[in-house]
Amino acid sequence: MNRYLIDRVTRHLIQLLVGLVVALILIFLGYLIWQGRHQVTWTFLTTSSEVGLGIRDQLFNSLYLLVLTLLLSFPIALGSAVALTIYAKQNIFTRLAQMAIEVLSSLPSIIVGLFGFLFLVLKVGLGFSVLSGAIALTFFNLPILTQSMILALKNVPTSRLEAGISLGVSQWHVLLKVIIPEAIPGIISGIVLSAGRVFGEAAALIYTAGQSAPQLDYHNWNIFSANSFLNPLRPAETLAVHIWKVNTENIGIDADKISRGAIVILVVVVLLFNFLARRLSNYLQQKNGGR
Amino acid sequence: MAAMKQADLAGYLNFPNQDIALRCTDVNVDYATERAIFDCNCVFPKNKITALIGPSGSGKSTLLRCLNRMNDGRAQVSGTIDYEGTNLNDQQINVYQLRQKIGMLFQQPNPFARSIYFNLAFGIREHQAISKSELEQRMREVLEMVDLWSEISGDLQRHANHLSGGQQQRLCLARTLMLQPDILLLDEPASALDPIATAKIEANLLALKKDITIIIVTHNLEQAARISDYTAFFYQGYLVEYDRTKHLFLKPHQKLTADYLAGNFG
Repeated sequence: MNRYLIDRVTRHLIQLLVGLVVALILIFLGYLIWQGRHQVTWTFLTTSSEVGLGIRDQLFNSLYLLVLTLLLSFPIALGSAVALTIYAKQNIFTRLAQMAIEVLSSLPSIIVGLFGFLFLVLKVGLGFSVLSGAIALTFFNLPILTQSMILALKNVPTSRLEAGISLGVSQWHVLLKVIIPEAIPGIISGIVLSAGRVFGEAAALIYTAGQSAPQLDYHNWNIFSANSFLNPLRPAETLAVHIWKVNTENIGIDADKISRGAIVILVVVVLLFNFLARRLSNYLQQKNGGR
Repeated sequence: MAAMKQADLAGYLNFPNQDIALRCTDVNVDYATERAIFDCNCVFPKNKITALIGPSGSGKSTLLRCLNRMNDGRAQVSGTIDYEGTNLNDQQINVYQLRQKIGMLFQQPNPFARSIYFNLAFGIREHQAISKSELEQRMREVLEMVDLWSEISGDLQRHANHLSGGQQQRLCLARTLMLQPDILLLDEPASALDPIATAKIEANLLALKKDITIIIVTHNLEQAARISDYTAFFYQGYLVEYDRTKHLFLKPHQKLTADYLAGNFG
């Protein structure tokens, strides 16, 4: 009797704690969205901050930076994850690499930002630009992305590799056609989770992508033109940096409105990422039939 | 130990060359810290089932993995292993072609987590251009060989994970048969299966030996006695005795063999 009682009490306690965490998150998100509910209008989303009360360019900058960052970090992360899980033997170098990844993943982002400022912006001379920001974010993103890919690859049983090799197929082809496809659901959720972090990152960008968002021309496809939306060498203030800036510079009564609205967009986009990641990885898992 | 260095090979010395599928001469296998196989000399006769038995760590799986170069990158193999006039242990050998001719089945069923179709098409498509109709024709043949075709009602799109363990292992067998191998190496293929699934695999092997030379590592002595024509007994990295299965089981020459068969050590 006593054991049943203890079992029930602990179970309820755990349920209570989980409920508490969920409630906290819901209250927090609900409050943020409630606060900004009147700010989010079509004009708010489509007006440049240079001419009115809007976040059009910041929102685009955030997405553009995210895409560039993923383009830079995805191949490197996948490559190092494959190297570390499949090819590398366990020795002092791989352990060092693992340790470096762990240390890098807990590096404060402001350090990454200052490094980017000193090295990329000043030394290399990229200036405050989308490119500087994307490279700094790659440093910031790489360890987490690599770790999640290592995890995804480790979840594929090594017997698959052996099976493929015993059929006279090269290790590389087994990797490409069996191991990586099977790891894709895990790889995708890793990408999207890191995308959420990148999208909300501010500290690493303040001194790399800059704090100004010149008005962009979305019809100008010439990437060398100063006001082209695709120009990677223009300064690009992102949504998260914008929220930080309007609050610190306190540019007037509108600051509050802008930041409240921007926060809603930021939160919604990150939630959307997570939701899509889950759907996509479930879909792929079902398609692969892995149950 | 010195006495063991000269293996008791009573049963095989009089094979004519054309009946031999594989001949190992002075094969030694070294892992990073220890030697796993000492001076192994033996032959594997064509179209027969040869069982490799011995306690855990006796080196039988290690030797098996030498026979299609699955030890590459994990152990140092020296000596010659003659296959159709070439030494397959030569570093110049094309291992990808070799492994098509010498297939392998593992202890745990390891189908790819995809459809039966993908599993069967994967190996062969890497090696040759094959038309879809010819491919599906061959899939049906190999699935019939392992008695899986009717069990899956000919549904090639069925997912490999939805098969039972025994069916998965037979799918893996079919997967190696797609490449039309000369030799099949089996590393305790039934040890993860129940008796009925085991019996099905054994029946498959007995039917296959008319075309294929089979070498099987097993811990199950009854299995060795049931299906094999020849048996090799390994102990601590040495081939101790090698003979026709019925001779070895009924009248072992070596005391070690007799002790092992009687279960006096394990």
